[in-house]
Amino acid sequence: MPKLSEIYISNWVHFNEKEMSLKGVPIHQNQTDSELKDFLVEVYKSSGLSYPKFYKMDNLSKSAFISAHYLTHESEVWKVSGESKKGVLIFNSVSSLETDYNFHKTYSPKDSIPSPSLFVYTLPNILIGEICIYHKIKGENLFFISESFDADEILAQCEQIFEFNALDQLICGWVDSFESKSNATLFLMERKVKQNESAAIKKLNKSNLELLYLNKN
Amino acid sequence: MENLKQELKLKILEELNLEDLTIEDLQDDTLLFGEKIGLDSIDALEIIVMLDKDYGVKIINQQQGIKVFHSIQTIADFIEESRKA
Repeated sequence: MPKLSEIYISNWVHFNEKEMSLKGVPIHQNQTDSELKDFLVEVYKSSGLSYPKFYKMDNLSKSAFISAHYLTHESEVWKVSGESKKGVLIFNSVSSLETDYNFHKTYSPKDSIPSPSLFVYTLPNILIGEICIYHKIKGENLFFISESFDADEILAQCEQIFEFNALDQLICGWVDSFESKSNATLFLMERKVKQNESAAIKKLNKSNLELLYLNKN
Repeated sequence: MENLKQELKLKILEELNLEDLTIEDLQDDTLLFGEKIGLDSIDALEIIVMLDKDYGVKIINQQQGIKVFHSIQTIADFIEESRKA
């Protein structure tokens, strides 16, 4: 069973309504000041993905899904890891509040019919489902609501997940979306790291988590 | 009938967020739940809501739904028949 000192952050991605960056390097910028929903589609279209279900997701799931794609798409280890060796651990502060609110509007006033497609996204952990379905992840997955980004809590949960689930890789981080603003920071954590990649990876510890989260741009 | 079918195509494309498809992809007899269009169970619920809200017609059971949701043509036929009844 691996200890936390044996786990590394091999990649990290930041996404908000203005920019997407990979390891701190911008890869997409919202140069036309588009609304979040339009910027998400721009990023999706330039990603090379062909996954029509993306259009049906709410902004929270879209932010998580597209971030997870960029986080993993160049990882050779990710491609060959077993389905049960990969997991997802996500935190946020607003849960699915924006979609809850939009769903509520569909059955107000009285006697109007609630929207089934919005109802689907009235739980925040649906975003994990979207990532797991696409990436065929069958390992542990957990979603927590937290007031703010809490590196200690992330480390505590990572310890549990890696120790008891024999995972090789974990998509872990923070994904919030509310009032047309998103804030996603995802880390790819793993214990099988090639030696020649050592310069580009970080040890999993509190200071690195906070540093990478705060220095997002 | 032609206007109704055109309207249904536009509504389905918009309300189900089928942004990868155009109206040309939705022919009158295209299978809605086949490989090409690929609607799912949530889409079926959205169409049920749309038929009720916009056309005042209700799907009363699963068997009827399977028959009606075959294509744009069958949905249009169902609306027309329901209006006559």
